[in-house]
Amino acid sequence: MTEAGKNGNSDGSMGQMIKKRVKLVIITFVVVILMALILMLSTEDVSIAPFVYAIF
Amino acid sequence: MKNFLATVLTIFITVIVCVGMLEAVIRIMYSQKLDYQVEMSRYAGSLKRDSANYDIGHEHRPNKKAHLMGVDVTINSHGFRDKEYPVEKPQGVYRVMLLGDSLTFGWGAKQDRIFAVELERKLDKYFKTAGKNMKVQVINTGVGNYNTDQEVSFYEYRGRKFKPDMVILNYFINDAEPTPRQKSPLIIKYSYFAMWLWGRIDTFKRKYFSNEDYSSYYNNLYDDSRPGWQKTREAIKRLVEASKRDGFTLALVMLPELHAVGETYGFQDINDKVRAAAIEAGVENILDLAMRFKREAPESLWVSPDDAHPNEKAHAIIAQGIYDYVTSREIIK
Repeated sequence: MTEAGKNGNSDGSMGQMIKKRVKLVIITFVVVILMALILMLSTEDVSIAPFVYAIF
Repeated sequence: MKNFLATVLTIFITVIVCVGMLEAVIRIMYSQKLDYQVEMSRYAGSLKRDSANYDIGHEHRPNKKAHLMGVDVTINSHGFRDKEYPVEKPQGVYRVMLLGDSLTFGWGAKQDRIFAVELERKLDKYFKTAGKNMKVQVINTGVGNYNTDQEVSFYEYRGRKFKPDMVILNYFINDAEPTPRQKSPLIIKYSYFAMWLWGRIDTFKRKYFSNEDYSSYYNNLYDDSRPGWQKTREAIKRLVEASKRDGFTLALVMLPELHAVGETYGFQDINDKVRAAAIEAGVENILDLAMRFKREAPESLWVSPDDAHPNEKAHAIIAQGIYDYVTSREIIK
């Protein structure tokens, strides 16, 4: 294989790797934000809670 | 292996960035809107500390200030949300000591509008009108999350040094809970997101994995087999003994749960049970304030829509109720 071919393959796999990482970052970001949102919305109504929620 | 480590590192860094963003969002959100759990956590972090006395559990840090639940809070050198008092009772002073929890402390109410201050003003005026050459001091020893056992322990170890002429035990429905020993992680002191997460996970667990709603939660506290309720009854007996030993007049005031007030009080059975236990323990002066609120819309009495602590209007009603009771029955002399 020529040097150019080698570089071309290397560029290609580097591009693939970056794509994979970006995908991973987006998925992780969405999962964390979604979990926080679910937690917020599912515990929004605390108006009838007894005063046992205080943290010491 | 290298690929796996890179993946884990990517996820880790992304989560850290997300947490940082959520921290910022929650700080902005709660700078506009007060949240009970976040504010209570800030209270614990800024004003509370472990007590050297195991039975008291926790106490206020002396000489501290904070802005909590929208109001300024100043703690005096004795650890009370009150003005300064010498331990030694001056000549010509009638001292009333209030024992209680966050309701007595005045959570969410301005310092000069809490019922301890209102009551002092009213009683002082009453003494002047009656021609008594005496000043009245109403000492507010309320600390958030105290139960009756802790309040009585506080009196036994520290309160009695102030030689009160009258002690008012302010009783709230959750006072039969066992003494809290749980500690939150240190990060909660510094991170709003951690406070929020901790509180919401706790709420989530209670809401979806517990069979108790708030009403059955309270009712279950008063099962005769529950250690918290047993301790509460013992504590009331200890306070009656202290009143005989130290020579003060004892009154027990039941403060209502402000979700349940109206033409009929939703927890009257519990109040009747507390009254019966107090009578059995030897308490002669018992005031149930639930009916004082029967014409009020519950929400109009709350500090905020998600926090049913008494607001300034409710504090004024409590002060008037206690004043009417102690003056009409000549409990205060």
